[in-house]
Amino acid sequence: MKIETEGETLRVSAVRQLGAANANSFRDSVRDSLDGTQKNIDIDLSETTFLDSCGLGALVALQKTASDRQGIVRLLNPLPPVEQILELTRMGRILEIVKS
Amino acid sequence: MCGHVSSTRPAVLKVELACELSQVRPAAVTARRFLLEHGCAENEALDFEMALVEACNNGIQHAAPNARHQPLCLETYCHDQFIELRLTDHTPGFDWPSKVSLPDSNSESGRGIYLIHALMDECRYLKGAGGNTLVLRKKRIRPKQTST
Repeated sequence: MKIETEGETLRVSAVRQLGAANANSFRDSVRDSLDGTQKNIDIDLSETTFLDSCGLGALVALQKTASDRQGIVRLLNPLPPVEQILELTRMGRILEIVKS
Repeated sequence: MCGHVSSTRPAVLKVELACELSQVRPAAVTARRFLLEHGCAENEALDFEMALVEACNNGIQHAAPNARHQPLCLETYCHDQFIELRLTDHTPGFDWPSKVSLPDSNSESGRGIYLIHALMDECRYLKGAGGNTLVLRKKRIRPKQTST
């Protein structure tokens, strides 16, 4: 996993999978990387081949973290299998899903 | 529900996995590859894999403390008409909900059983003294027959 900062946004990429085995460590690593200036979290899902309900829980937790800072979480370019899970669970209601 | 059971023997894959979350994904990938090798479509194999993962995660996260040394038994059946998962766990067991809905949008848990219901056609949870067995079925997508 790679974490970079761009102004008020923390950008997370190179996430191969987000499931029960790594969801908590993913959430904690992202939270720990936020400093006082970032309020938004961009998560690049273009390399993420697997997402389960525990991974969804981590994304919701990060949305709460961003919301506490008056920011948002954006999910960038999910692959079709991951996009299907996001759609089935209607995550678009609370997370912005961006496809370019 | 699947109304027709083929008379031909299904292909069967049996796997035991330790009661650890890290064991789930490799077992799920093995099951998906098994289904693909037996002619299942990519989409149905992926749906099966996801349901399998959620079922195993549930079985591991809710395993009784004194049963964590016992493996989960995973059986994948590939019939002509449907694919079936039988997962035996050692949780205290619970009543499988007849109606499943999504939790509140801000909830950080509670989407696993919803996903299983959304992806599979039939779900049964059989509670037993020595373990519980979750049976999941999904109808197979049949290739279109071409007329000659």
